[in-house]
Order: sequence, then C-alpha cells, then structure tokens
Amino acid sequence: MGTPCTQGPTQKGKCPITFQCAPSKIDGRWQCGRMQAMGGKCWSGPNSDGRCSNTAPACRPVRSLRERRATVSKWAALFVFGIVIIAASYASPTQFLMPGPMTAAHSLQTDCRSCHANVPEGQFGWLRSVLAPAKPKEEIAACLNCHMIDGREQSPHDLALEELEKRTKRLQSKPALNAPSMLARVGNTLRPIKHHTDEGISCATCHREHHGKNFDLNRVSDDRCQSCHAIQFRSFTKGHPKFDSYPYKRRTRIIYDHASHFGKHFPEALKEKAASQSVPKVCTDCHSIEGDKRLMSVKPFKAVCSSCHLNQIVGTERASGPKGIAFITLPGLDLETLREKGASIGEWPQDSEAEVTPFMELLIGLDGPARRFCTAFQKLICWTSRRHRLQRYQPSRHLCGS
Amino acid sequence: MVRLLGYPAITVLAFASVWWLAEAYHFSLRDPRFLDGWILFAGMAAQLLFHIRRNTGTSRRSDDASSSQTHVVIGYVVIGAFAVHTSTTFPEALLEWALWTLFVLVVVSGIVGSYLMVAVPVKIEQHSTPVAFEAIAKRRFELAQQAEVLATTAEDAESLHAIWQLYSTKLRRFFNGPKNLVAHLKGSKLPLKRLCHQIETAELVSDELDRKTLQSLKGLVVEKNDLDFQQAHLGLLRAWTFVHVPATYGLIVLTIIHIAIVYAFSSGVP
Repeated sequence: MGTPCTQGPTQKGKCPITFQCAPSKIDGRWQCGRMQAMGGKCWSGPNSDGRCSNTAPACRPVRSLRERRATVSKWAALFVFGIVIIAASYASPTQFLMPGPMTAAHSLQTDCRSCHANVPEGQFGWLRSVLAPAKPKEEIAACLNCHMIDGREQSPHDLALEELEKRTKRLQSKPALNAPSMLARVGNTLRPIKHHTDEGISCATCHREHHGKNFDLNRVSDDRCQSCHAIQFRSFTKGHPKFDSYPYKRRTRIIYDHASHFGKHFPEALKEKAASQSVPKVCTDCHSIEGDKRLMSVKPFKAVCSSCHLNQIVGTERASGPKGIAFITLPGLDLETLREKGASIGEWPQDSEAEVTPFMELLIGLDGPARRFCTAFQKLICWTSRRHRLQRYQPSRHLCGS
Repeated sequence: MVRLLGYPAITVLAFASVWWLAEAYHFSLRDPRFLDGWILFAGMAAQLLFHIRRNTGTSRRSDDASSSQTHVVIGYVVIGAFAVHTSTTFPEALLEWALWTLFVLVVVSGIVGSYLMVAVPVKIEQHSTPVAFEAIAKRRFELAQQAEVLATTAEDAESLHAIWQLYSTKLRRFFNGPKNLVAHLKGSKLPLKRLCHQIETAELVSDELDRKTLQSLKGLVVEKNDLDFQQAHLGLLRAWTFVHVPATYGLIVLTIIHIAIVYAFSSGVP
C-alpha cells in the first residue's frame, strides 16, 4: 500500500509502470529520476543504455467508486432496455403499450389499429409511425366504422362548413366583444387554433380515450369549446356578448320555472319511474332550433309538457288543490241555518267545501245587487256539519248566497 | 429553515406554473400533456447535463457547490412538472408503472442525497478531523502497521506475551479493514468503549512501560475508530449515488421509449 503514482492505470485497468524511474541524461551521464516520494535517487543508478535498473513491482489497480457506479449504471440501462424489448416482443400491445384502460364501450377492441389507423402492422410496427405525420382522415374513418355520422364528422356541432364560415364572419365583425381570458390568450399564442381548423378537427381532438372504464368520452370542458369560438370570454357573466337584437317581442305565456323543475320535479319524477312521464335531459328535448339555428323556440305543449300536466288539466289527476282548473264551483253554505231562517236555497250539496273561484267572483261582481249583498255580509261565518268547527273566510272568497 | 421551507415552496411554485401553462395549452385543443411532458423532459435533460459535466470534468471545482445547488433546485422543479404531467394520479399500465417507479426512486434517492450532502460533512467535522475518503484506506493501513509494530516490540517476553495476546485476539481484526460501520451510522460508541475497556483492563495489570505501549495502542484504536466513522458516513454519501445514478440511466431509457410510443400513437390535433 504505497502512494498512488501520478500516471495511474491504463484505460483497461492495467498498471503501466515497469521501472521505478525515467532516467535523464545530464552532461553525458544518465541520472536516476526517481521521485522523492518513491525514495529519491537510487544507489545503483541507471544502466549504461539509459534504462532504469530497478523494476517496479506492478500494482493491482482497483476500480474507483465512480467507475463501479458507471458500470452498474450501464448495466441498469441495458437491463431496463432488455426487459422492455422482451415485454414488447411477447406481450400484446394492449397489455404493454396501452397508457390506460379504455371506456367500457371500446374495451372489447383488442387491436390498437382499430382506432390508431396510422400505425403499421407488426409487433414493432408502431416504431415506423413515430416520425410519420398524423393522418386525421384515417383516424376519423376508423371511428366512423362504428359511429354513423352523416358526412359532417369533421365539423364541430355537425354544422356544415359553409354555415360555420358564415357564423364566424358575422361574429368576427364584432371585435370589441372579444375579451378572452389570459389563459386563452396564452394558449392561442402557444398553439394558434387556426392551424388546426384548416385541416379539420378529428374525433380524438375532443374525445380522449384511455382514461378508465367509466370516463365520459362526451365530456368536453367549456375551455375547449372556447378554443374554436370566434369570440372568447371568461364566463357567461364576464365577457359574453350582449343579447342584442333579441328576436322575441314578448316572453312565453307560461312562466316556466327551470330551477324548480330541474331541481325538484324532474328528480321526483325519475324516482317514481313513471313510464308516462318523460324527463328531459338536454335542452333540445324541450326547445327546437329554428331558422339559421340562432333561435331556440319551445316545442308544443303536446310534445313537452303533456306527459306530466295533461291529466291535471283534464281532471283525471290532481297536482295540488282542486281537480283540474276550477271555473265554477258550488261553495260550501250553512244549509241548516238558512233553512231555519226560511231561506229558499233549493237543492244544494250538503258536503260541498269548495270556495268561490276568481271566475265566479268576476261574474258575481258584474251583478250590482249581488255585489252589494256580498259587501254587506263581508264577514260571514260558516261551519260545516262534517267538521263541526268554525272557519273564518276571506270576504273576497266567500259568497253567502243570493 | 430556509432549505426546509424553500424546496417545498419551489416545488409548489413549479407545480402551479406548469399547471397554469398546461391549462393555457388546453385552449389549443392539444393534449396539455405534450407541453408539460416536454417541460419535464427539459428539466430531466438539465439534470443529466449536470451529471455529464461532472463525469467529463468540464466543470471547475469552484463551480461544484453552486452547480450542485442548481441541480437540487431543478430537481424540485422537475418534481412539480412530474406532478402536473401525471395529474397527481397513479399510472394504469405496465410501462407507466415502470416509469413512475424509476422516477420516484430517482426523486427519493435525490432528496435523501441532498440531505446527506448537507448533514454528513457537519457530522464528520463535529466528530473528528476530516480525512479524504480516498486517503482513509491508506491511513488505516499505516495505523495497522504501527499497531503491529507496537504489539511485537516489547521489553520482555512476559510483556510481549500479554500485549500480543490482546492484539491478536481483539485488535488485529479491528485494524484489519473498516469495522462497526452500522454502529457508526447509528451513532453508537459501544464498540469503541468495549475495546478501550479491554485495553484499560490490561493496563491495570501492567507495569509502567507496558502501560505506555497500551496507551499508544489505545490512541491508534481511537484514531482508527474515527477513520471508520468517516468511512461509514462518507461511504453512505457515495452509496446513495449507486441508487440515484443507475435509476436515472434506467429512467432515461424508459423516457425515450415512452416518448416514441406517445408520438407513434398520438391522435387528434397534430
């Protein structure tokens, strides 16, 4: 165990030292050149031919830690590469190459080329498609093998290209309305969208597979929708174009409450699983697109509301309150008192509990004496024989008789 | 404290920045994993550059400390980019699992290594005078020779026998190579105490001259123990690279294969 020499081992790990020094000739004489660390000049000195007379004992070079680590690293890389080659050779592509499980609808596909039409055949055919350009038309054709779309598959929203161009031009004529978010501006800078729309949009642009069995392929985020839109905005309330040139002069006759229907009534209907009630799921279940597809009108009552409300109107069901919509009713009267007083009321249902309807009030109000009579007897107390309790009625809703 | 808070903060900041960029890229109808994947690859390439510079000797010694620091900082940025690229979810396929495992191995060994690079030199300086790792073996050999000389040159036969008995049964094995490395890593001083106790016991029954010899032997034992301590810790400081670097090589191979597969099967917007 001596001091390491300055030369060090060769690349192959051999000790290159054979003699202890390299003699030098000074004034015609050979001088020993052994280093002080090695013992300094030797007694015997160099040979006459200038070679060192002392052979050096060969050392056994030992691999440095760095060298050992480099060896382990190279073997690790080769090992990983080897494992990958073996797995790629013997495992099926769907086991080895697939990045994640497919949705349930597509999980029966065993050949990657069913969807990735641009990948050549063969166990390692995919290597040839690494640098090959994408072929969106072939990819779309692969989707259309199963999904039937009538020739407008590359157009978003299935709109004809001419229609799309017309709408885009109309919207682009309003530059002041365009207020994209910072994200949209950066995204458009990183990768301008025009480049893609020129070549058309393939299905896989928005419908991404390999995210698991229950992944919703139809789910497209609002941000992605905005990528193509001529006018981009942060949200419905921030930057969305104003609703000018609204085509309707008045609102619909029926004040339909979306919130209560979607929040309460539709979920209740679904729980009851009433076969006759069809619960809408998308906007077009109730609305129809008219004209140049800019107007959303409401479909007729028969198509939209009748499944739930028709029976209530015709009177075979009750929603709440009286059967159907009451026009004329026979209000409840204190028949016993009237008979005692000798009032001739004629035939009157004994058990009637109905109240005067607004229509009846209107009709009675047209008759002067009847109107005066009701005003005079505003606080009429009636009790029914069935319930035996006092009820105080609102003056406008109770008729004492005429 | 700055390191304790600084590195997680860097990771979080990197995660937020890459995530924001990916969200912006989302607008282009392209899968944002292409963007954050290349950001991740760029970070890994920067890390590899550090390794290449160290191995080829193109970095100056004066730059070593700052480049190591940069290597650690970029490492934490790469962790943030990886978290965005994987959407902080576990992989679902064999090849992805292999990639994920190797990356985690590299990251964990790197974090352990960055801690050791700070903690070990402090520990060594607190314990004894630092000795270069490469010089430890030579110094240990010299101590062994000195111990043998002490054990074999005594004044009389009786002393020689006693000291030699102690040396041959207890000390020769001790001086022959690094010993008690695990105990040193655990911070245990029990092996040293045991040996010193044996020498002290022998001193009690020795005369003046023998006591001097035994004292010298004890000094050599303590010095050799210090060398073992340093070897254990410096060895650990080198051992973690035997996990970190080979895992990195494997990760590079898998990354290249992953990129090839992704582009071979990419669909949608080109």
